[in-house]
Parts: sequence; C-alpha cells; structure tokens
Amino acid sequence: MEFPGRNIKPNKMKFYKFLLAGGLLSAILFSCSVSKTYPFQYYALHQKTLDSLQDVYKKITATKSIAIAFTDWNFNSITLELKSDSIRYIYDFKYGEPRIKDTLEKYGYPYQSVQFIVESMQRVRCTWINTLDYYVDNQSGTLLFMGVNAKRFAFNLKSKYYLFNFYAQPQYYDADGKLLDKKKLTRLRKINNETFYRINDKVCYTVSSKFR
Amino acid sequence: MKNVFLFLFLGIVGQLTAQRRSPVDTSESTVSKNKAIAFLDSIQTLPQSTFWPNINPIAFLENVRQNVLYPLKLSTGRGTNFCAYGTISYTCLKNEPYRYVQCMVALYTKGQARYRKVFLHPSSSIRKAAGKMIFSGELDHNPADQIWFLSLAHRFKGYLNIFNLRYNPGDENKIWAAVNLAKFNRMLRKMCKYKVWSRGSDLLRIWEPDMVNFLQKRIKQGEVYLYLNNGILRKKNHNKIKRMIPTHFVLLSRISYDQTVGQLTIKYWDGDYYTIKEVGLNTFKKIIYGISWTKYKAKQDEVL
Repeated sequence: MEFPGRNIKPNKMKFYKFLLAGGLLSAILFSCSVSKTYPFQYYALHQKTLDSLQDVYKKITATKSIAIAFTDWNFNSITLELKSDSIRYIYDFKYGEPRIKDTLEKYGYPYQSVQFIVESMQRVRCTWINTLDYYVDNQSGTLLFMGVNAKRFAFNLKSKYYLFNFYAQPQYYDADGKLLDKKKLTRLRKINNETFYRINDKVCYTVSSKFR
Repeated sequence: MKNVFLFLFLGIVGQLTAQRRSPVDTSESTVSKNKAIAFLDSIQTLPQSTFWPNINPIAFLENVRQNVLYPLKLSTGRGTNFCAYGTISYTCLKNEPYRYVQCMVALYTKGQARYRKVFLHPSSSIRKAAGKMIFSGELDHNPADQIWFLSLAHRFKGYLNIFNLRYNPGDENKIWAAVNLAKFNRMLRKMCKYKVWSRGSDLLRIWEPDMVNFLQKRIKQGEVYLYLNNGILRKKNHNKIKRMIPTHFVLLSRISYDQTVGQLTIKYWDGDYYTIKEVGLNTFKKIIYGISWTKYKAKQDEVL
C-alpha cells in the first residue's frame, strides 16, 4: 500500500511547508488589518444619523459638557462623564438602567436628548463621543470627536477603532488627504498623537487602537 | 489647681498645634498666594527673554497669574507624559505659590532658577522648544506651563529615561518625560513643603488589607498621591487583556466606601479638573501600585 505523500520529494515538501507558513502568516496579518475604505462607506451609510447626533450633542454641550462612552464591545455598559467648571463626575451604568435618568436630571442634563444620543451611538456602533479643544494661531476651536468600533481580532483580545473628527469649519488637507494644521504650512495636525485623513472638508478619520 | 491650669494650658497648646498642622496651612498658603499676586503686580511687565525666544512675556505672566489664582485649572496637556509633574506642580501651587512665582520669573529672566533645593537649568533645545508645543490641548497656549514641565522633566531622570535622555521636539509624549515611582518620590521630596512617605513599586501592586481606611487616615494627615493603572480606571479600549502596569499619577483628595453597593467613590485631581468616580473595591485594589503621602508638618530645612 502506498501513501500519496511518500512520492513527494524532500525539496517539494519544503516548498509546501514554506507555502503553508506564508499562508498562515498572511492570514494573521490580514486578520489584524483594518479596512481603510470602510470609514468612507461608514460615513456615507450613517451620515443622516451622525448629522442628527451632532446637532443634538452640540445643543447639549452649548451649556454643559458631557462625554459618553460604551465601555464594552456589545454596547451594554455606559459611562457618562459630566463636567462642571472644576469637577468631572464619572458614572458607570448598564444600558437602560433607570439610574441614568435620575443622575442626568440631578446634574441638569436633558434626559431625552442624552437618551437619543445613546441610542444613536448604539445604532451606529459609536463607542465614544466628546468635544476637544484645538488651537490655531492662539485661536481656540472645538471639534467633535467620535470613536467607532472597527474590528476585534486575535481571539477578541485586541480591538481597533475608527476615530472621526467633525469640524465646524472646512479644514486643510495635503495631496494625500492628511489633515493639515494651517493653510500655508505643511505641518500635519495631530489629535491624540494620530494623523487624520480626509473624508470631506469638515470630516476626517483615522484608525487607532484606542477609542479616545 | 496647678494641675488644672497645666491641663488647660496643654489642651490649648495641643488644640493650636493640631489646627496648625491641618487646616491652618490653608491660611499660610493664602498669605503666600497674596504675596505672589503682589509680586506679580509689582513686576507688571518683563522684557522679552533671550533664553526663551518663543515665549511672549505678557502671555507668560498671565499664565503664571492664572496658575496662582486657579491652581486647580493647571493643565498637563492632552496625550503628554506630564501627569506626575502636574501633580507635583499642583502641590507647589497650592502650598507655596510665592516660591513658585519667584522661581518662574527667575527662570524666565535668567534661564535658570532654584525651587527649594532643585536647580532648574534647562538645555538650549528645551528653551527653543518651549512656546512651540502643539496639539497638546490647553497646554498649547500656556507658555509658562510648557517652561515649567519641560524644565522639570529635564532636571529629574529615572531609569525609564535612560534610553532617551536628550530632548527632541515631541518627546513630551515619549519616554523622555516618563516617571517611575522612585523618581516621583524624589521629585516630591525635593519640591514639597512637607515630609514625604511612600509605599509600592513600579511592577507589583500594593498589598494592603484595609486600603480604604489606610488612605482615609493619610488624607486626614496631609496629601496623598496614587500611582495607578489608568487603562483600567478609565478605559481607552475594549481589549480583554489589560496591561498590568501603572501608567498615571493622581492626587487623591477623598475616598469613601459604600458597603451596601460595594462601591468606592474617589475624588482625585489629575489636571484641569477634580474627578469624582465610582469604582469597585476589588478593581481599585488591582490598579494601585504606589501610594505617596505627606504629613502637614513643614520641613525645617528651608523657610521662605
């Protein structure tokens, strides 16, 4: 009785082993990479929701600052960061918990609007929303910062996120679509040490291992 | 009768001493704060420093004044490794604002200065970089804070810094500015008005059966600093495996434990704000690697 493998020459065997190892390695590498075209598709798909989310969020933060995070991948745990002038209150909740309403009302936040944001975030898989200050020529500006769940890999041990920046004014980008600090300079503007890429004049994105 | 008077006398002296060691320190710092503001008023303006070419003197003095008036709002920037320097600076600003102002003005005008026994003499690369820091949030437009943090990071070195001892622009986010517990304690001992004690390490968590009580006692006596794993306290990703290393320094001002819920409420300062957060007791024990504390008893080595 002959086995098929017995007729394969040692050199060929080595080649097959090499091929197998290469295949495994590329499978691992590709499974760890995140699509660079997906942020465009994501933004196009959820633009309406994101726009309405922005509008409501801006209305709330015009008077009082708030940041919202989903601290688990399945969108069941919420963290609210409620900021006054000198104190930041951080509360953790389970999604839909009645305590959320009591807490928001205690600190004078409109529950319905915050609930709308939370539901919208869950719908579009947004894990973090916040406002950030930035400075150009000593003039301050504010941008809306959002982190969106992108991918989990290595047996769900590591996660990747798309970070979106929403500006009130059109921004400058270089030929490669990288966000620039100013019109005349070629210096890139970095937010949280990340380089951002153009989606449109006011919206840009990056891929990161942190959602905030 | 003599014994009664003696008892009364000792009682009064004890009361005064007790007051002096805790809340009365705030009156000392108020005096120092008033002196600092008066000193700034007397200066009014400074000529452009040749040592700090990118620092505008008006913006510099305004930043120093704001720090003295509102130490709570001191910002360590976004994404920088200045948390430890910020925590220590907050203590300096709270306890000895006059000394801080004198040091800052000397640093600006002479390019070098002393704060207690610490001699600050930043390198020319740091002097050129100060004022040009960008993308660090509030720190971008606080030139005096840039001078101060960069000078401190230049002056104090620990084993974490051995691979990056010389400053290059952008190093404020890197290992050049990193602080380990021993370095933090060294800085605190040299810059703090009070005596300093510490427990913990850079790799192993503190074993303390009654952590809450331990910290509450220390808070009553003075100031308490925690060296903790901020990746667990304030999540930045959803990874199932977390790095079990300390990453952040905070000043703890209050801690309470609700037995019915099994939750701790902590109040701490780590730049810009006081943060009040609920955290589980076990989680809290898991994230604490170092505790440093002071007792409200001034050192006798230097009195300004």
